[in-house]
Amino acid sequence: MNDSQHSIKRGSVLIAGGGIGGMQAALDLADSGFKVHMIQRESSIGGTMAMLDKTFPTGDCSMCMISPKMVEVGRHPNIELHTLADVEAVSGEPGDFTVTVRQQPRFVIPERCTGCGACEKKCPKLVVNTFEQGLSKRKAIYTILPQAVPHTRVIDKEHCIYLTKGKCKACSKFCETDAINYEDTEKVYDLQVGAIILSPGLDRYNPNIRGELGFGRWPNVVTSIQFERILSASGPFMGEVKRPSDERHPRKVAWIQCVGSRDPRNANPWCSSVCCMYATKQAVIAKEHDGSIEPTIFYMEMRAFGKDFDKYVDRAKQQYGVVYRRAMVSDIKEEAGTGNLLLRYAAEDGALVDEVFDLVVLSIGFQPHQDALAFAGTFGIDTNVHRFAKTDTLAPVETSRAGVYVTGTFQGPKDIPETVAQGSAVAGRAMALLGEARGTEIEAPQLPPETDITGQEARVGVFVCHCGINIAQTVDVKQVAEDTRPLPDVVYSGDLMYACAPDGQERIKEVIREKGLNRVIVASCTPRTHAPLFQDTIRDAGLNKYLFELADIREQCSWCHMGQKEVATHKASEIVKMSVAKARKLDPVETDSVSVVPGAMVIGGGIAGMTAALALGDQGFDVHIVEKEDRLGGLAAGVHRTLDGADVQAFLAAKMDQVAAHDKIRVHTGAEVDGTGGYVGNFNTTLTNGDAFDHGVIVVATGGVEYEPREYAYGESDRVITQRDLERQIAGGLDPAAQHFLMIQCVGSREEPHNYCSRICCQDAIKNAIAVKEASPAAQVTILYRDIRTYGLREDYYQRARELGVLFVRFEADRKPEVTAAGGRLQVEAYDYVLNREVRFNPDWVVLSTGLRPHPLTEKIGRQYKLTVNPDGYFLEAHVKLRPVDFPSEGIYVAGLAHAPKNLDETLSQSLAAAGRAGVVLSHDRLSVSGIISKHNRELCMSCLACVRLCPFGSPFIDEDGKVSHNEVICTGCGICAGICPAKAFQVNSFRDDQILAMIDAATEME
Amino acid sequence: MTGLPQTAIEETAAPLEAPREAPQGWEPRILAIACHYCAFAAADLAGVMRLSYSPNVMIIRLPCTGKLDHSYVLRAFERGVDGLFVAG
Amino acid sequence: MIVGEQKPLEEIWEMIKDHKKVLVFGCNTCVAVCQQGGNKEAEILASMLRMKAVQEGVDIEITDAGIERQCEHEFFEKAESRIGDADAVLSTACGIGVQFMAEKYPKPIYPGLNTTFLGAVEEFGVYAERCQACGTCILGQTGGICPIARCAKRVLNGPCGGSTNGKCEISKDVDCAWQLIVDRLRLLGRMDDYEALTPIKDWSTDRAGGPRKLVREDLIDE
Repeated sequence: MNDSQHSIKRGSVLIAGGGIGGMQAALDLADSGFKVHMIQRESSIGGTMAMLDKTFPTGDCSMCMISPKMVEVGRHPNIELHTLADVEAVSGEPGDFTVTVRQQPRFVIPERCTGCGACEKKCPKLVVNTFEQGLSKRKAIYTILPQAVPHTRVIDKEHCIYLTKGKCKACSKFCETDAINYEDTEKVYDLQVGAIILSPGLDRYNPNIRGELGFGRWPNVVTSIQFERILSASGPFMGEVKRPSDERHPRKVAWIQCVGSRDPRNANPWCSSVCCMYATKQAVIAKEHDGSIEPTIFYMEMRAFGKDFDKYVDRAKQQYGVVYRRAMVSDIKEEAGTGNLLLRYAAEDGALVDEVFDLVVLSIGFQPHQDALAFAGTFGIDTNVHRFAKTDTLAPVETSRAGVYVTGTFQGPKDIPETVAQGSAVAGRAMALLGEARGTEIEAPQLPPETDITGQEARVGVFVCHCGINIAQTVDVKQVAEDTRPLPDVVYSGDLMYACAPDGQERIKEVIREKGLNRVIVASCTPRTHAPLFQDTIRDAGLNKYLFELADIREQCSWCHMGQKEVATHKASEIVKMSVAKARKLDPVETDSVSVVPGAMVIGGGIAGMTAALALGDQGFDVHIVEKEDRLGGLAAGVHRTLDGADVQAFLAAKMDQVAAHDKIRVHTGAEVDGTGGYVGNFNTTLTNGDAFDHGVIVVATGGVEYEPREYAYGESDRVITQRDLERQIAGGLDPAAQHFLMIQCVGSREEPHNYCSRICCQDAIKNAIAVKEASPAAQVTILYRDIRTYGLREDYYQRARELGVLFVRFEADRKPEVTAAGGRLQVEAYDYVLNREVRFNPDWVVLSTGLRPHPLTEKIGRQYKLTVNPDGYFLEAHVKLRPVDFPSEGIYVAGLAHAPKNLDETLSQSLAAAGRAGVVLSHDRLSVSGIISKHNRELCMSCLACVRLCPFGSPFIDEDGKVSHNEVICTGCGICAGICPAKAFQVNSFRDDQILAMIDAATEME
Repeated sequence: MTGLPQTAIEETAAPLEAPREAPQGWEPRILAIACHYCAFAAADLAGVMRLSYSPNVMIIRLPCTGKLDHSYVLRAFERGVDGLFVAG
Repeated sequence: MIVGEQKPLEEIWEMIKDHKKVLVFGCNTCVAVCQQGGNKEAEILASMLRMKAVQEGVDIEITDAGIERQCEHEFFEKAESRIGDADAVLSTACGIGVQFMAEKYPKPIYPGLNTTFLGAVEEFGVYAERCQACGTCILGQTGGICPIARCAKRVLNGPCGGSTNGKCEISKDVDCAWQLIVDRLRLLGRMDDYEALTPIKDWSTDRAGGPRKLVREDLIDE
């Protein structure tokens, strides 16, 4: 399904925006053989996620998750970063675009800069730190965050004293590598790419506009992103919860929701989708940092619509004592003298209440960048009325221009996993468009043959790096080199000014050759960012790259023991000694590879399964769809329209036709998986109908089922129906006339034993309510609800329903409406919290908004493939934020309702994402096995099964001969098996017991 | 532990080692075992932020704290470390 | 499989404290599976004893080694010199291995474990008794559930009066073996087996008849 007849296809993709969505797309594309040009306006990639302290609902550290990804993007040979850059113009067509890029000067030469930071230290100019949201200062030469990628500093030309006043040059004076270039100029150049992905991310609402909230006037009124930095261990207060005015620990902290969101008159009409949850997270984390904090969240509606979100809110209330107050704050004033804040709000009964807080956090919403329209214009794509990229519910990542795709918050407000899923989805779409050009624009490095060191005594070479003055001003580098020289097997120990600079690396190669080194240690900075660089260096000199060890004497020595030269030098020598002890025992590691069957099995033939199958088929892979029922279609067969009016039946029919006509797709209906074997790249499957085939990946799209209600007199009257029934009647031409439709929300949802939000029912109710009112304005629609969760741009329709006169009445779980159907007359009694009294309705119809359940097949598939499910029975992904469609077991992906309740557009994004992720695996002829894996010694193994039981990835298994074997292809090298094995039959490469024990011995050697 | 008095364990289990007074100027030797992905990264961040801490902490990096082996803990204590910090 | 449980450190210490060179010796089969006496556990125990020795101010050289099984002669060959060097051995095998070693070497061989029972691995870390090696198996009549191993009173013809709601009178955590047998026979549709009277058991094949020995004439070279 190529979008163009054009004959040229380029094997490269441009990604505009280096946040988490763009990074995911970049890695997927680069890993599958495409060249990626990433355009980033700021000086570092990372985007919004890099600013966050923790993420909901798991409380995981945001930087810990995103930093390894940033490093991976920065180092990937197929990804070229263009930072400080914007796209100026785009011409051409799908498969062959020409993109004009304008890059601002950095004033620092990346090839020379070692990231040492001496310049920043010496820069005399302090500038308000925008990354820290104005809560602290930075220098005029800086990186936006400590973990910046690339790590090259940048000069802020608006504030640099030399660039503005013509004198200073402190940075240049102290730069040991002569990396400062004040003459740097703006560059304009063209890139040729086959496809374009837009991931520019978001801007935040400026709360100055809402004067009554006092932001900018009262120092202790902060935005949620400021509070995120306040919580962050690397933020202005180093993770201590303090308030800006006096750095006192606040006790009572208030969050005010929907600042700048859901407010068509003063701000943005849409719901920003994430604020309810991030406020909950911030309250919980603040409480964890300081148990004396009393958090209160002022909200309109608690939109905890995602997987496990309601449970998180419950936990916040019950375990952390977070108070949720359903009230609008109308006014914030500072108390004279104390810096405390007086909040005035209307309680639900209408009474005005004044309450004093120490700190107020404004939960500000998302909005497109200020220049979103110009940005869209540059790329020639349409925007919607709210300035987001215009997309269709049924084609959620396609823009109006073929070959240009969109991911993340520019498509509409959403949180991290949906952004990441869309990142993989757009990668999959680009792969389908450019399939045949894969691999045409990347270069494989030419390497010399590896030296065989078998039987050689260890010959260790140690290079101690000055890192300019970063290490050398605190650590006597020459002394460390001297201390190291007498250690056993050390045949060379010397110092280098910058080990990572090109001349430093050349010197390392030279010494390897001169001294015949067969183990190499660099004592410099962190192995997390620099080990791969030096591994490449020694590989260039013919050594296996696992014969390298990095001793971190900068981050973990000189930088944390400044001004203590003697102890720091001694410690650095000790660190190097430990590395030598380990390095002597390092062995070369051969990395294996396995072949890949270029085909997929998709379990489930609903919308999710068909979408994933078509996306993979379009990429050129064979696909087997396995559907339990006799026909394809799944749950969408009962859906007629989406909230925005798209025709689902026509869409479904078209998908089914495409599947039937696709020469790469084979459909197995009326069948289930019977026998299964193999692993990523090489699965083999037999079906219950006897069909058998091999395939490289599995997409699990088993879908869900609708809850069949037992409450609210369902089944007692044919006038008590479900939303799906009403939808069918509307599609069949129902004339609502002047009848009264009363809808009840959360039927079978958000209550034990199914205490989760089914996410679709609010949309369904509003969709049908609008349809009824539009068909007959005389008809009456009442919706009894707990919280209306029309998140994101769906809020427009909530607004529309209210404008059409739909009546909304809220109820609570412990005071549910009662429906009676006596004598052919329906009666509904409910408690109205606004009127504060019982109300009674006599509707013509009661319409139940029924929730979703996982498909009964989920459990069986889970058992067959050892996939875990959450307490609600939905599949548990590998990581709730960054691996939303992966399973922990490589080569198996999840899409659609099998993962959690979601709307159709989200299912489509996720299905495309699963196909994108699967495509990365299938695009390889062979999969290479990582070097850092656990090695199993069958001679020592007595098959006690401890490893089989404890490995989270299923790599040890009971083999054909009945004994334990180990599948290295899916091993991640975590070493749990090695830790538990009573026979010591497992050892992790480069982290073997003898190597670690040697380090411990070295660390504890008595002087 | 419900139903049992909270002091039960302390009363029945004799401490293996009698607590001793720390000599003047004594500094503990601490070994930290850190996961490559999180705790080791945190130690790096401490450096990046120039946070100062006592120099008598040595860090050993593991691919994951799941790789921790009983023998590492025991070897460290046998060889005289005063504290072991496992973080991941 | 034979299940064992490590003895308290204090008890072990009392046994070995007067020796100068002690070898902690692991057995890498049954007791390794229950993570009590394999090479790894021997290594851990040796380390803990060395620390104990330091604390007590006693000078003992404590090392560790191990073999596949301590109940077969041939496996010992590779460890001869290590065993020879030691003036006492702390074996972390079951009682069989400890005795077998004691017969082989004229030096103190101490048990590091209490040998507890013959059991199964119900799940990782949970071991439960299933057999008492009585020498006359009646599992064929009792639906595959052993009243000798699993009934506190070893009764052979239905439950005693102490069976309440399927639990044994000794503890509400212990299933009544006869309840299990009846449930199982019902499931198999073989309640006739329950009705059949089991004659008085010949306990001479149990250890009541003295130490037992099995000789496979066909396997022995004359």
